[in-house]
Order: sequence, then C-alpha cells, then structure tokens
Amino acid sequence: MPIISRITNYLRNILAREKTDRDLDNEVRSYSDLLAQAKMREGISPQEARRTAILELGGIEQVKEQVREARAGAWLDSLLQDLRYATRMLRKNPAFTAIAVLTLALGIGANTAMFTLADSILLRPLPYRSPHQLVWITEESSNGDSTGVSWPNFQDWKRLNTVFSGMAGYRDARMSLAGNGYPSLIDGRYVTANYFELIGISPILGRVFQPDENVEGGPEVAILSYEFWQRQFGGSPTILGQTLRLDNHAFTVIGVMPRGFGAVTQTALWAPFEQNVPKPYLTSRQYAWLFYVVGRAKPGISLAQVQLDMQRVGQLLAQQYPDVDTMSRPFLKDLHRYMLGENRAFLILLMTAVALLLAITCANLTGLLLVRMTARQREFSLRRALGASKQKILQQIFIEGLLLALAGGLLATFVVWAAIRFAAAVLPKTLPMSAPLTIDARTLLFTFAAAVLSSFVFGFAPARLAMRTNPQVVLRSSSYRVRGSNHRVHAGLIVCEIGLAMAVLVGAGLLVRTMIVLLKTKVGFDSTHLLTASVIVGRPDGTGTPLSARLAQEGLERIKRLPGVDSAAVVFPVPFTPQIDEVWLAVEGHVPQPSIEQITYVSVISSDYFETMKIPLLQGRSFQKQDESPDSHSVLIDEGLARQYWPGQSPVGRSIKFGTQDFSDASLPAYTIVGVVAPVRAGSLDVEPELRAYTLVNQTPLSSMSFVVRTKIDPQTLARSVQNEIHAANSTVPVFNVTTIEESIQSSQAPRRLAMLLLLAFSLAALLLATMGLYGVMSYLVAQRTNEIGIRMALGAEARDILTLILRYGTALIVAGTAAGFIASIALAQLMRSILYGVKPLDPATLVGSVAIISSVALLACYIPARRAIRVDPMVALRYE
Amino acid sequence: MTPDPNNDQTNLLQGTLDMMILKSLALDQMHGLGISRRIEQITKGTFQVKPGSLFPALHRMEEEGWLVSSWGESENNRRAKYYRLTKAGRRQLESETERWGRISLAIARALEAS
Repeated sequence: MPIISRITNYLRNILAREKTDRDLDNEVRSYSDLLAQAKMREGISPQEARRTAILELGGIEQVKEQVREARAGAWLDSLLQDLRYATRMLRKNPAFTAIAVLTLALGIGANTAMFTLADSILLRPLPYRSPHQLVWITEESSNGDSTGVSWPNFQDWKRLNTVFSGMAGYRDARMSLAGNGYPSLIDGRYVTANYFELIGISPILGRVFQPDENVEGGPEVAILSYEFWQRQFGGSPTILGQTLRLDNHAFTVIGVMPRGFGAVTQTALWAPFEQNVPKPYLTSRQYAWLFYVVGRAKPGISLAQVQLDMQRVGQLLAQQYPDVDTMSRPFLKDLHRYMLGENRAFLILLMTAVALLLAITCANLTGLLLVRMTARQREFSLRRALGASKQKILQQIFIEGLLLALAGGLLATFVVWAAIRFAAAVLPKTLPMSAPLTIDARTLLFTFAAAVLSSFVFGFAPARLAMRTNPQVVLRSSSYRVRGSNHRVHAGLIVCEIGLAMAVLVGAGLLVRTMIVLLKTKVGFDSTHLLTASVIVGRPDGTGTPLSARLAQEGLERIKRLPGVDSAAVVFPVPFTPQIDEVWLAVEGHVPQPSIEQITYVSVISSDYFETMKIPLLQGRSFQKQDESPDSHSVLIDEGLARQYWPGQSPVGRSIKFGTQDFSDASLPAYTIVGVVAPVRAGSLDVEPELRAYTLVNQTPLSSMSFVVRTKIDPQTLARSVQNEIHAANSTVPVFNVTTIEESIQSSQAPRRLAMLLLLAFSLAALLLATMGLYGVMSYLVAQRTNEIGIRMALGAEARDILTLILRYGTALIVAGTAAGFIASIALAQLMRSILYGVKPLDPATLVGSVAIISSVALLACYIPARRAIRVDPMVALRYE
Repeated sequence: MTPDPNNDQTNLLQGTLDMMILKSLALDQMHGLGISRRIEQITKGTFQVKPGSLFPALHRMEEEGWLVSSWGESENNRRAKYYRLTKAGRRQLESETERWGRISLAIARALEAS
C-alpha cells in the first residue's frame, strides 16, 4: 500500500473512529436486513428470518470486531486501549505505583548519571582525529619508573620505527605569567612543531608552529587554548601578534586552538619545545626531563604491532648505546587509556555497581508485580475466558511495565540532573573529559533504553505466571492461591537481591578498608600543621635559577618572623606533588650490575627541612652551616638508600655521585654522606617510600621550589601572610598551591574517596532495596499462610513454633543469598584489585562484616512479618475459609 | 480469511478470497450480501463466504486501494454499501488471476506426474 494512503488510513481509523464505526455498524446491519428480507421471500416468518440472519451472520458485534482487527493501525488502536487501561490500573493503586516508579527512578537515574559520566570520560573518543591510532610512549627503567624520553632517543625512534606515520613530543610545565600585580601561574605545554598536525587539530585563529621555528634560539611564540584566550583576553579578536610575558620572556601569540582541546589536557598555552629546553637535554641520552611522545600508528597497525616494533627499536638502541640505553626501554600505552590513568578502574567499578543496583531494582519490581499479578489472576482469567488472546494479555502486562518504567525514567532525568550537578562539583579536575557533563540526547537515549530494557526484565516473570495460569482453575476456586512454583520465583529473586546487595556492600567495604589503611599509613613526617607554598623561580631552561638560593634565604627569614610560625624550610619537590626528581646514582666502591639500574630521588632542601618536617635523623648529623659553602658537597640519604648500598654498615663518610652510575666519572662532583634520615612517603600514600637523597638548595639552582612552614596555629590562617612574605622577598615570582600538606594528601586520594563514598551510597541503596524485597515477600508469605497458621495454632502450636516456621524459611533465603553474594563478591573484588591497597580482595573482615550486616538487616525484615504471624487469631483465620 | 474449523468446506488458500471478491466485482458494483451470493454462485456452492471473513476482507481491500465503497439503494429500496473495483483493483485481479493460473497449472502437472 502506498505510504500516503497508509497514513490516511491510519489517521482515519484513529481520528474519525466514531464515524467509521457508525458506518461499519450500518453496513453490517444492512447486510443482516438484506439477508432477512431474502429469507422472508423464501416464506419464513419475519421474526424467524431476522433471527436466522443474525445467526448466519455470526453476531453483529463479532463481525464488527473482526473488521476492526483487520484494519490498518489496528495494533495501534489496541495499544492505545491497553495504554488507557494500564494508566487506569496504575492510578487505582497509587501506593504500588509510587513505590515502583520511585525505585525505578533511582535505579535508572543512578545508571544514567554514571553512564553520562563514563560517556564523557571513558566511552567517548578523545576529540582528536582518529584517536584510536594515537599511542603514548615513554621510556621505562628496569624498576618500572619513567621520567620520559630523551631527545636523542626520540630522534632515533622517529628514524628507526616502521609503524608510525608520525611522532610528536611534549613536556608539561607550569609557567609564570606576568600581568597586573603579582605574576600568576598557568599550565603550559612545550611541544614539537608537528604536535598539532599529528593529533589532528587546526587552530581557529592564526597558525601552528613551523618546523623552522622549532629550533634552538628560535622565536618565542605561543598558541593559546580557547579557554585561556576567553579567560585572560576576553576572546579578543586582535590577540594574534600580542605578546605575553611568560617566565620573564616575551612570547608572541600566533594562534588560538578550538574550544575543548586544551581542556582535555588542562593546557592553557603551547610553546615550542626546542628553544625552551636546557641545552644538555637536546644532546644527552641520559636525561629524559618529562618529555613524552605521542605517535600516530599507520592505518591498520595494531597496538600489539606497534609494541613489537618499538621493542625492536629499543633493542637496536641498546646495542648502539650500551652505556645508557640498556637500562630503559620504550613503554607504550593507548593515549586515551594513559590519560585516564587509574580513573578508568574507578569508573568501571562504579558502572558495575550501578548496573547491579539496577538489577536489584528490577528483581524488586518483579517481586512486587508477581504479588500484584497473583491478586489480579481473576481479572486476567476472566479476560482470557471472554476470548482475549494470550498475546493480548501479554501485551497488556508489558505495557503496564513499560508505563511504570517510562514514568521512572522520566523521574530519573531529575535524579540525573541532580547527580550531574553534584558530580561537576566534586569530581577531580584532572579527568580528561572529552565532553562537558550535560544531559544530552545520548543521556536521554540511555535513560529510555534502560527503562525499556528493565520493563522487559521485570515484566518477564509476571507474564510467565499469567501465561501458565489456567483460567478455569482460577475462576472455579473462590480464593485462588499462588502455587508453589511461584514461591520458587520469589525465593530466587530474593536470593539474587541479597547476593547482589552483598557484592556491592563488599565492594564498598573493601574501599573503606583501603582508605583506612591509607589514612593510617605513616608518611614518615608529621603532616599536621604544615603549610606549603610553591614558587616558580626561573624558566625550566635554567635561566634565572641562581635566584632560587637567594629567594629561599630571604623568604625563609621573613616567614620565620611571622607570628604563629614554628619553623620553615624550602624543598623541591614538595611531598604529595608529582615526584619527578629521579636521577642515576653512583656509589663509591660499588660496581653497578648491568641488570639493575641505580637510581634515587633527590630532594633539594634548605638545612632546616628535617627539623621542620620532623623527619627523624637516624645516623650522623643533619646539615650545618659549614655545608652551605659552595665548595662543600654534603648529602643526607634515607634509610632505604643506606640499607640498599651499605647493608649492616654506616654510610656516613662515604661518597656518592648523581647523574651517573659510574663513580669514576670525573665530570661530576662527589657528595659526602653526613647523615641518614628516616624514609618518607612523598609520592603517594599507596606507594612504598622511594629511595631518596637530600642536597642543599644553595648548591643546586632550582627553577621551582616550595616553602614548607610548620605552624603553631591552624596553618590555613597563615596562608595569606606566607604568600605576602614571599612576594615581599621577590615580587616577580608566582606563588601557587598555597595549601596544607594534609590537604595535598587528601586530594591525592580524591578519586578513591569519591569512589568509596559513591559505592557506600550504592550499597546502602542496594541493602534497602533487597530488604524491602525480602520484607515484601515474607509479609506476603505470612498473609498467604494465615489459614495454615490458624489451623496449626488451633491444633496447639505455640507462638514459638510459628515464629520458627516463618523464620526458618527467611533464614534459608538469607543463607542462600549470602552464599550467592559470596560468589558475586569474589568477582567484583577481582575487578577492584588495582585500586585496593593494604587489603586483600578476599579480606575476611570485610566479608564477615558484610554477611553480618546483610543477615541482621534481612533477619529484621523477616522478623516483622513473623511477629504478625504469631498474632494470628485462629478463630479469625479459620472463619475466612 | 479465517478458516472455520467446524466447516468441512475447502480451506481456501491465503489470498484466494481476495481474488474471488475482485472477480465478483469485475462486472458491476455490488453490496456485501451480493458479493457473497455471487461467490457462492460462481463456485457452485463450493465456497460460502461468511460475513466474519467477508467484511474484514472488504475493508482491508478498500484500505489497500483496490475497492471504493459508496452508499446506495438496493434492488428493493434498502440502503446498502456498494463496492466497486478501482484501477488498482483491476490490475490486482489480473495479476492474481495470472498467478493463480500458474499455480493451478503447476499443481495439476505435479499431480499428473505421480
């Protein structure tokens, strides 16, 4: 049928229904009249003729119904009819409807919110051209550490590889931006000239760097991110050609990148790498200097192939430069995966948890609907007896479910809206979001899909029940009872719910235990009452760094004079910021083994650092005045380093060199160990203390450093005055990250804490839902067995016996549920392995605790209906029959 | 058409009723009773079309655009709804006839062969 006439038919059948119906009625009646007339002509009496005519016709209404069903859009018509009926049914049971819609709204809402979050972070590809081809590459040392790729190695990789269509490099750096008043700090990225082209992004204004620009001594040019351009320059269209003072150098703006591009990496500005890198880094193979590489794999080349080829290149270089390149090898990761870091594991865990929550929601609703279905068996049986087809009844049941789910989905949109606003406030800012968190078409589509899918899931069991029911049996008995098999479905649902709730609870418990372990972790110094403030002293290329010692001295003098300050010191890098100060170590009298790389972290400090941080001195002495002279090379090492190279001996008086593994290298000064201090956790709570050496700030020029201030009072109250004192000592340096160490420690655990809180919330919801489900089923069971209980009591059963009878059933469900939960927990815990710390995935305490919580709450849910059972009055119960 | 299990009558193939209706309307317009009478007559009583099959088929075919209907006076001054073929209906009748011819020929051959 042509589409136009099909549509007109649909419209006529729906809109002009009454007229078409009247028309049909007339037509069928006229047929019957004509038939009767014909019969009368054969000599049959008018009355008899009319009767036989209708008989032969098969009933006027029946014929009309048959025509209606044959019409175009008949399905739509019956759908509308079912929809109207379903609405009426749901309105008639407001309590049931409200509970169902609310649970669904929470279940679907939590899932959609999680989906939206995961979508903008995890699922959506990076906003780059063919992002799946992009590979992140660094060099990894034998102990798994990585501080980037050396420039000469990068050049060789480009030459030797056969799998990349291009390779670009970058280094993130904080830059000091001069403006009105004190300089501010911005996140910049030094890149090779082909970086933008490789990633596949063109500027919206101006141009990208040219290869002949990216050379040593090339022009100082910069490209701005859209966000920075808007924030700093109000989106001025005349920005090109203007100059910015960055790290006290004038940079000319040559381009602006499109919106969102900088946001993914939190970059405000890009500058050429080659002219902003200290010279030694461009020639030495041993310095990596946080320079990382992004490669674009040729079309059709897989990550595994890339890996294999880079391994070959690494081996080639190791043969060519055995002294430096044997120690490290290329290490590759999918770029998106690298950018996600550990957030990926958290997101996957949380998505699993909300999916379980939705499963519990569906199980709960199935239970609710089954109970209702039992109550409505007479209704369905009557309709079946009156000729409604099985299909019609099924359609009816699913439409009621769909209506519930859609209402729940609609309400869920509000849940999502609230959740997204909450998430935007609490999410770590470092997540690489490819799209802003908003409710968009994808979100709505997901909500809709989740609603439809769940309606089918929870509609299945009730539909099956309705199909299996024999209308004759139902209609014959006065009070129809659920059959045993239905109990089994209920029991199965409850077991699943308890099991899933327990898995989520165990997940939350494991994270809570991890957090407790982490918060109890000894960092090796007294982290309370410590304020830190970081400064950028010079450019990373080394110019301006002699300033650092002077600023340290003047700044410290001023800060120490502040009231409320106990002591103060200078350190680079400050604990609980990225620890990037890894260097090679040469030990006097120690021949390096080729397989083990000798490396240590080096902290550059002022002499009062250990006293300020309260890091205990274990052997020898701390730094003293005499160590500060430029020709004295004193060093303190931590216990880990001492134990590694001088086991059972005192390292005091021995010598070490940094930046080489060969102690005979005469170009580098030897440092004399004057003391040993206790180890400190500076990188992260969940990483064992690094090996570390400490040198003095007046012997090592720094481009950036931090003041640490031990206060007598709440450190936050001194934040402003410390900042002022640093600026008073030097007004040209930007001061940033003025915060307490405690806060840095906390924020280093922010993703884990957030995951823990969310998982706790989910497990609470899961527990609540499972308990509600169990309570419902037990109440129902008691109501069903009122008669039986009455008879038992009349025959002399005690209240205790009845209680035991009911509780025995409940306990069996709980035991089966926790057993199922145990298995589910094992699976979930495996998923969490990478984010747990100090607690095993099968932590007995967590398991036992979860079982205890689940069982006690569930028992309570059984006990209340059981109490109701023993109050049954046998007389009343039996009179019902 | 819904086959009537209680009737011993030939179980018509799907689409055959449509063809019969089209054929009976080939000469002139007719009302429902007329159509069922005509089919009975031309098949010599082999096919008796019940209203429960006839009317749904008529309405479906009207929606397909093969038939148009209009109210008119019957032979003895009764109001009745008359159906007549459209151009599309005629085309449909031709193709149905041709198809049926092919099928019956094929079946006849198959039966002779054995």
